[in-house]
Amino acid sequence: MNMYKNPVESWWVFPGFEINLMATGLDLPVNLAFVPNPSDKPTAPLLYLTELYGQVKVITNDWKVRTYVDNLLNYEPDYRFPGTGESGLTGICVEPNTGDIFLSMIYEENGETKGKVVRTSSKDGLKMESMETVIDGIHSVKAAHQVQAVSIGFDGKLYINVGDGMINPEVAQDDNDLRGKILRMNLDGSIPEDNPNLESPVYAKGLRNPFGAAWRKSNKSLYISDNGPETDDRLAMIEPSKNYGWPKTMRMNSIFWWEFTQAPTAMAFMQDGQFPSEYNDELFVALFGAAYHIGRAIKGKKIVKIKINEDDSGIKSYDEFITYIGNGPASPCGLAFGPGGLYFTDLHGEKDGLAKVPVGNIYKVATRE
Amino acid sequence: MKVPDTKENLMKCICMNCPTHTQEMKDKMQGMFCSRGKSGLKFERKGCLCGECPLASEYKLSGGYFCDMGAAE
Repeated sequence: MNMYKNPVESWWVFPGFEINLMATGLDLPVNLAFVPNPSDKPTAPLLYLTELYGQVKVITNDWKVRTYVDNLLNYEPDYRFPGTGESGLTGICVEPNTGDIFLSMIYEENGETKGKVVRTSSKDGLKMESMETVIDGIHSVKAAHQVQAVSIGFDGKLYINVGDGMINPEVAQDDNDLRGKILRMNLDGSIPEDNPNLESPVYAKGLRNPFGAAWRKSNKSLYISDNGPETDDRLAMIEPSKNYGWPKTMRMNSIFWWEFTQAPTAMAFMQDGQFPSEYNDELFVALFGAAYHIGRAIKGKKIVKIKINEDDSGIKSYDEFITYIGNGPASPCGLAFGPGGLYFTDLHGEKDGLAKVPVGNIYKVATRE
Repeated sequence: MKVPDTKENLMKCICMNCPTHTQEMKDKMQGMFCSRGKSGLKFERKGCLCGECPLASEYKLSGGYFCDMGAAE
């Protein structure tokens, strides 16, 4: 049980900032995606979020939570953390021109676990009306290391982070296997004419479990978080044809690594004025830590802010920005910048997240007035 | 480092949550392979959680699939 009556008291916040609870009652909220150009209408979509076991929720400008689509998984998930419960529906992004939603998830087919990415559409953005498969059949596993973040680059292409599938890490080096890669595709699933290999969506290789993706305006580049084994979680800037080394090493072509693993999940650059200008171009990374850890932790359960060198040779500064100080299983998982601040999910929430009761939250961090 | 076969360690063990852990292993109450050694049952490798286990960091274990390879030394 949490000793704090107000869940915001479970979080330490960097000086000069404050935290507010924006939504609650969510069922394992994973990732957030804001609508790039939202309407002013109170009932229009503001943001979408994935819930691990197969729901997408839409939150409107008036902060009402609605179900955009549910029952997306074709198998019965369990609540085993760490383990087979750490998989399902994860990645999400909003296509800026149409408002269509791209989602990544796993599914079962003939007893095998596979990964896929779908594109969903809706007239008003509030209830899914159609769904098309962009890519499927990616060998996967229950227990993380699945198809993770989906993002749309400044070039209008779809980028997909794919984990190594856990069983045979060597596939991350196999150019003919989609696991352990960053994929680059046109929005309809076809292969772009300027891909490194004109017959393959593979854009970069040698990754293990690349949960997070963030696009940086200052150099129009994609950065990812990648989870290591016993050591070496990392951040990397993705470049075409580049090999990031896994399974031999997690350090090759990385900007930064945590030797003592922290389980980095979602991340985002502060680049649209939500925070004061001295934070411009800083990268905010959720460090989830050990799965379902109760109370404070030395691993993860925090959000850090990082200033990356202009030439991506390393980092200039590193600070804890948000730290969990409560007594529950909550830990930052998804994060995104939105109106007036940084928003994040806490996956399990403050109560017993294994009790199959939806108690996950969304918080907003903004400069203190 | 060897992992002592204690009730405290058994409480920390996550073998039961592993995708490789079969129903037969569950029926036979098998687990904590890093301490007790290989399963002896037939199974497929479907992923390994050993690196995520609290026992791995506590006893500085390296490698994985102790269910297949035998106890940590």
